[in-house]
Amino acid sequence: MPRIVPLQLLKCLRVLLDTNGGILSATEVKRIAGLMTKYSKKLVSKCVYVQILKSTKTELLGDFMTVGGWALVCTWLSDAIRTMNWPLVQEILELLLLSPVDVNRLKINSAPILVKGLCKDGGNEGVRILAKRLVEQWLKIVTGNPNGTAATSSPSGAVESQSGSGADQKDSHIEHSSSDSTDSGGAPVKQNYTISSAERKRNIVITIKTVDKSASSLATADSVYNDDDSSLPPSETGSESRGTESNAHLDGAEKTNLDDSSKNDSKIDDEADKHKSERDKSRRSEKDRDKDRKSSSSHRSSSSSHKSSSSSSNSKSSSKSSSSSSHRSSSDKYRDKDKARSSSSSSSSKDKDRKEGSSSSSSSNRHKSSKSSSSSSSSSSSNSSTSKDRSRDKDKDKASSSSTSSTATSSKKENDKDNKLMPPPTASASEKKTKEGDADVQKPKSIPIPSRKASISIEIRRDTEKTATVKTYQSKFRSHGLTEEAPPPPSRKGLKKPTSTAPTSAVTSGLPPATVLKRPSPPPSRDTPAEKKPKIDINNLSGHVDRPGSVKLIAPKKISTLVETNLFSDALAASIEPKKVVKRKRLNAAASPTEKDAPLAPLKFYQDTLDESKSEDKSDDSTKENDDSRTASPGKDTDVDDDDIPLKKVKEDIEQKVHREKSAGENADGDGSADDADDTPEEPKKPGPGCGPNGPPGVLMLHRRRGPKKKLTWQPDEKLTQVRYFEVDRSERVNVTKQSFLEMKNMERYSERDALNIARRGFDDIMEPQMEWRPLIEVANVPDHPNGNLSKQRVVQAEREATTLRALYFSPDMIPDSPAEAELEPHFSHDIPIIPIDDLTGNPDAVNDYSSLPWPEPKGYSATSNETGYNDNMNNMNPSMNPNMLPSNNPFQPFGNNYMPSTGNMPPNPTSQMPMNIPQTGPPPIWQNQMGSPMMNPMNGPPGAMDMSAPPGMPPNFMGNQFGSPGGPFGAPPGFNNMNFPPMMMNGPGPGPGPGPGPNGPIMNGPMPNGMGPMMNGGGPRNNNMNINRKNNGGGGGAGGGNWRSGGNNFQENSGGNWRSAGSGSNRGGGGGNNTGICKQFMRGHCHMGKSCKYVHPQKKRM
Amino acid sequence: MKIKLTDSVVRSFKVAKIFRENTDKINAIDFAPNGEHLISCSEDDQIVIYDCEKGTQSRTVNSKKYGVDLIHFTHANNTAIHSSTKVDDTIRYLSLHDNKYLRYFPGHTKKVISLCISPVEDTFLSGSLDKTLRLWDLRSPNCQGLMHLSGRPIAAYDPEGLIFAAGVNSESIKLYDLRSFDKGPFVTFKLNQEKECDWTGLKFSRDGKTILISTNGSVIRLVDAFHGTPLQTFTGYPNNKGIAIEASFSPDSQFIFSGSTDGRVHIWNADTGNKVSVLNGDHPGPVQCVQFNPKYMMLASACTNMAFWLPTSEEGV
Repeated sequence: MPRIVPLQLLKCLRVLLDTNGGILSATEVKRIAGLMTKYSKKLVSKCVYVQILKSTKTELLGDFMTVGGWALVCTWLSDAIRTMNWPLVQEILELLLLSPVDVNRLKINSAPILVKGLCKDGGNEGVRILAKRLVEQWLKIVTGNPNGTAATSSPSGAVESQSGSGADQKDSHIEHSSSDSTDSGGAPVKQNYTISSAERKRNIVITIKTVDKSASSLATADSVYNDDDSSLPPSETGSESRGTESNAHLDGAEKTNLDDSSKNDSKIDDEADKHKSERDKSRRSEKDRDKDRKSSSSHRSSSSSHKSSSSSSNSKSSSKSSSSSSHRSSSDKYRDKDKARSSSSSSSSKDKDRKEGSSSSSSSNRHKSSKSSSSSSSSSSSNSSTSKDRSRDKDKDKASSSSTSSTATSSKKENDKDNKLMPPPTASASEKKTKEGDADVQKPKSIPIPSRKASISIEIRRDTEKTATVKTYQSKFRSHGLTEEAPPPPSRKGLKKPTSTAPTSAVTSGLPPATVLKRPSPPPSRDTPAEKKPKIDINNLSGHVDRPGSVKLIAPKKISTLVETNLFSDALAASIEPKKVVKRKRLNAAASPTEKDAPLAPLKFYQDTLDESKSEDKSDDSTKENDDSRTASPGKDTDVDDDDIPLKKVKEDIEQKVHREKSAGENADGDGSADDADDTPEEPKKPGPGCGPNGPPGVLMLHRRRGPKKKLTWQPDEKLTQVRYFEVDRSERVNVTKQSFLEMKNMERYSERDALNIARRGFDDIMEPQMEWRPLIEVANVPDHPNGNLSKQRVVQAEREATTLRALYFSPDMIPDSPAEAELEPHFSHDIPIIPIDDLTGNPDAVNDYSSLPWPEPKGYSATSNETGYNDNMNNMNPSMNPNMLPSNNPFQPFGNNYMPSTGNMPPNPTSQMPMNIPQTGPPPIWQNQMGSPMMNPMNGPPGAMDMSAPPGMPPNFMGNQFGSPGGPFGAPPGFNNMNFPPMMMNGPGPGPGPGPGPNGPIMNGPMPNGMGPMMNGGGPRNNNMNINRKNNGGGGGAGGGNWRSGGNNFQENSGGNWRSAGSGSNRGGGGGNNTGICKQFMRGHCHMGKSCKYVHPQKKRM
Repeated sequence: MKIKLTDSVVRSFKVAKIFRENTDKINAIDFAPNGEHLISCSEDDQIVIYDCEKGTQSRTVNSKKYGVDLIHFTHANNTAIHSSTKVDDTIRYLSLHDNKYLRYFPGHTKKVISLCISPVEDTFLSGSLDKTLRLWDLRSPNCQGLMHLSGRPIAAYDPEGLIFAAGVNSESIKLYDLRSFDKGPFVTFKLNQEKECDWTGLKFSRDGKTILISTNGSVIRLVDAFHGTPLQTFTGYPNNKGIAIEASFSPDSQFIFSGSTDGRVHIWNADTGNKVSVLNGDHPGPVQCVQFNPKYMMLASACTNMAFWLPTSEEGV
């Protein structure tokens, strides 16, 4: 890195720094922190940064620490210790003293250990003392934490206990650092240091005197102080005094205005104001103090001026100077005390000496004051006088529970509480006290604290934590009493307790309880309301109204967080204003921030209650922004937690806010509009407009406003339509819709084809080859086949094939759907020779007419010769019967005539078992003979048997035997007509023994009488047929039926009618070629249709 | 080595090969005269040729354009004629060698229900539902003879190729001399008209003595070829669908084979008319076509599947 010139570095950082050389604002904290962590390796830069930080406001410093500065500072410290750079260590320790700390932060790194180590091993006295102070301070924080505020506040409290100006010390420290930083880099600081140390010593002497005068207890610290001055801070003070005196004066002048206002308030409130003359003095002193406090330079400048007699401030009287000096002394004392605490008893002895000296040197006024202080704190003085430790204890006690502590401090606190933010008055009071009496002294002491309190309270607001805020409030009060730095968390805690203690102390002090009460009340109101209020407000706006005072206080806090709306804020502001005025009088800083906050807070409430949605947030943010922008400095101040907030800025902010509030309160509408105007750009929806200045109307108005706000409107189209783009991941899933139409179609086709195949082939295509393929064997006795020996086309084709490539298809797909088309041939129209149907020659011999000859009956199995013969007989029987039936009336004569060219053939028949057997194999003539033969008589017997044998499953032999035997006897009966009747008889018994199913019996029975009747009439045959058919139906096994059906023409038809399409008219009518139109059923004996049958029932023929 | 076909041999026939080349029922099959090839056609418009010696499917040709219902080998190797089911009812002369139609024989206006080719020469007969019977010569697309009938015509050549028979109206058979068919039938057999069914096919036995009449019912008739006398009626096989079930002679004319709708092959003795056997080949559908190899011990039956049967018994050796 190039050599760093401090001035250049500062110039570079100028943007980020405020006029004091501290960090400008919270927004810069992070940047600064980042810069520091990055570019703090060189000693020069470290020193510059340390100075910057030391001049930074406590709140910002706290922020810085939280942002990472703590670790950074720790590293610096460790580096400095490692390099034995004790001056730097000292600077850093001072910085640490200034920086707000809490337990958690202390735990973060080894900084506490380092510091503790420095207590023993510090390179020089200053470092050691500083380290001890630090350790003590932090110890208090750590140990005090359990108690809460006490511990945290203890450091400040301790300082405070030493003197009311304890806070001043811190201020002075800060100021010193800032002045140094602003003035120049580290090197010049050193130079100044020496010089300043010299000056300081002088100052110290003076201050010591003053201290002694002011408080006897402080005397002990003075000695220490001197030591300190010689070694440490004095250098800074010196530098500060040099560089910043002029500035300080200017600042002080500027601030005086603010102070005046606060003075006025304080005057009103404070009892100290009783002495008007003193008041003036006090005012002046306040001004001076303000100058001193707000601008660190001013303090010292003033002090220096006093010392050097070139007082920039217009000190009307020596009292002022004395007061200022006393302040300084007090500050010095604080330091001294701190040092003294850590210091050994020797220091105490010095202190005693100093006390003596101081008492001697102190002026009458101071004596008085000291006396007063001593008297008031006589007990404490006695305690403290014995040892420094006691004084510390007192301080601590005061901080934690001041009741035990000296009345003086308590009274101071009380005064502070009363005055709250009235540092100047306190100063004046102190002056007055010093001049006039103890009470006065107490007041001034308290005064500086309140100012700090104000700043602290602002900080708390920024914190926005309920607890934090409460603490801060209290801490302010304590700070009033203690007038020392209050690291944010600790200070709050400490403050809280002090507040609690404060009232007690107040009581003890005898100060007006009312004031005390007022003070405590506001803080809780501020704190709790701040957070509670929003809730409460959300729930019940009336609740806010109910607590005007508290609300006021609360409002400001809210304001700090939320800025916008008007109505409620206006109402609140209106109600608050009077109180505010009071507050202003009492405490400028405190009141003003509250006021400022108040308007903002109501806005919040509205927003909370009204807008639940993002709009609120936006509004809040916007409001915050606005607030920040408007009241940037105060806001920052509040954010920065404890310690000193430049009163100037605070005052300015407060004033601005007050103005705004006033304007808002006076012209609620105007404010509302203004707010609206402010808000509208951000959020048009939240209109303040409708709201009246008063709360309740405001609420109503808000509702009205809400109405429009709540209008339901569609989101803009852009928001309504969301477009997302997905990349298609093919592997992701199978989209059903991806199947193309063709695929679906093919699927459909395949499924359909499968279904068709199933339908065609049946569901069970279990066809399997039952044997292996073998070489073919020629069949013997096959006549030669001409094999187209005359074919000429064969030759043609052979020639073609010789010259034509064979079509080869290696896969089914290659086969064309159709063979190649044939060449077109000329189609000659020619006369097609007609093939006559009939013999043109008319030769009658050319026609063999067998149309009247029934087809031969089918035959059964020919498994064995016997069986076959038998079966054949049986089969033949049926057909034989048919002819008989058809001509029912007339016995067979006509048959015989028609068919019997060769009746003589009959005789051979007897050969077979049954007499009526006719050689089935016989040639047609024989068959015809059979038919024609009247033999039927013998024949008739068997038909029954024949029927029985019909089922193929039946062994033919058995059948034949069974029926054959009975057949004989039946056939025998002579009395009947030769033919028909016997079969009837046969049928009757036949079924019974035979395998024929049950139905046969009844069927047989039914026809029997019929048959009997018709017998004579010739109806017998019909019955016979009937029976046969019925039998077929009843016993019809699959094959059996087939046999029957296929038997003979007539039979077949008949059977077909009954068997296949039973009842169908066509079948009925089909009977016998001759008898078409005659109802076969009727002919068989019974027609279910009766007379309605469309076929003829030839009654006459029967006869 | 030749085997005499006997009942036992016939009964011993079993399925040796099954071809599932077709997705629809097989309409017609025809053995080449030398018994070495079998051609089949199916409703799915495929024409499949089998090698009978190897028991394999040797060739497939599609005729999706015109369809194919009846098919017959012609005398030349790798040529066939088939009737069409699409476009028109033209008969087509197909060269399987190069898968090309050689000639078309237009003339029928309705479905051709009968098609037969002269065993000797290049003439063939076709009968159609247009009640005409036409005589063709492969060498000419022109019809060589036309017969108008009163009913459904069927036709068949006798084994000698000298005469042809025409069945008319399911009641009469007329025999014509091919050399003088223009003079009318030299003999006519009037038979008892079929009432329950129609004649669907005529076949001469190889010895030329009988004529087998197949029907679309469950009856088969056997008629004396010289006198026209009804000889036998073969029944006992179910045909409950009214389909034309082919009946065939064994080459020695001893046995009659027929398919059935129960998927079995029924066999009768042509002389006695007795049923010899029913062969069960597990045909999943009606067996519509059954033919015995004109030369070898081999039976072909077809429903949708084509089955080749071989005898397991060689008693007659």
